Amino acid sequence: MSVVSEQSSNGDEVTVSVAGRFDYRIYDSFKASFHDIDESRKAVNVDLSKTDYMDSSALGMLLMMREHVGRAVKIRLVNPTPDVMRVLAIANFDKLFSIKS
Amino acid sequence: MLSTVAEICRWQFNDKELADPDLVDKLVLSMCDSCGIAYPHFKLQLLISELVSNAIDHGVLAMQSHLKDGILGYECYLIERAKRLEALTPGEVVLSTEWAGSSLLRITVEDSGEGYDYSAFSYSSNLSDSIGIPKLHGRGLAIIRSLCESVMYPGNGNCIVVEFDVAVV
Repeated sequence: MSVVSEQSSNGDEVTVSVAGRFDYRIYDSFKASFHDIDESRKAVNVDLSKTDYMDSSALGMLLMMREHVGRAVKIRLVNPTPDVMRVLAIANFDKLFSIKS
Repeated sequence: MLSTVAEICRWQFNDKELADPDLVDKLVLSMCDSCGIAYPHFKLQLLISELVSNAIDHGVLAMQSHLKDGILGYECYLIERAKRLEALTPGEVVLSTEWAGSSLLRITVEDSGEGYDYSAFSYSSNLSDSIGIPKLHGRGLAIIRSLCESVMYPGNGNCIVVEFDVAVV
């Protein structure tokens, strides 16, 4: 699976890991990963450490996630690779999301 | 479909070929092979993906960018895009390459659409509105601009010409 989600032991946080390519091909599985997340959670961590490609379709999906989970839930983009970080920076996502390296 | 005349390589895709989800992958592989560029090439893959998506979406399929706005916008956009692709909207995209310098590749992408108003996205600051709410469109062009040495839109908005330095990885 290129998209895997798991919750923290106390259930406060969900981590969604995207391995390989983050583009329109994983639209269904990425959407499914946050479908059940609501404002009862504190944070969603999107683990990008194993993401080796990202394009503008992935940026659209991250905004979709943000709209779906609500502004009260913090979304962190975790450990993006340098190539992926560059795409995030082009789109000013470093100002929209918290990025943790 | 690839054809080569002099130093210009040219790929032409009809409506059936444009619906192939592996189109960009196959094209990038063929481009690298024809132009002697080491594969894989992250930036070239990203650039071609954005160029071809724009040509298909806003050219051949005549999708309006503002469909992406709003909470359900991106999803609605993708559903509508899939519907139009499946309906095999008649059209084609032609991509050609020629070397403009030792490592500078000039890439031209032309579509059969009626033309797109590129001037609406002149600055990347347009990615957010005046109160900072992000727009769900315009990022593809921002990516294209950031990757290329130059970007031009000759003609009526159905053609884009970029110069891309393949040596900058």
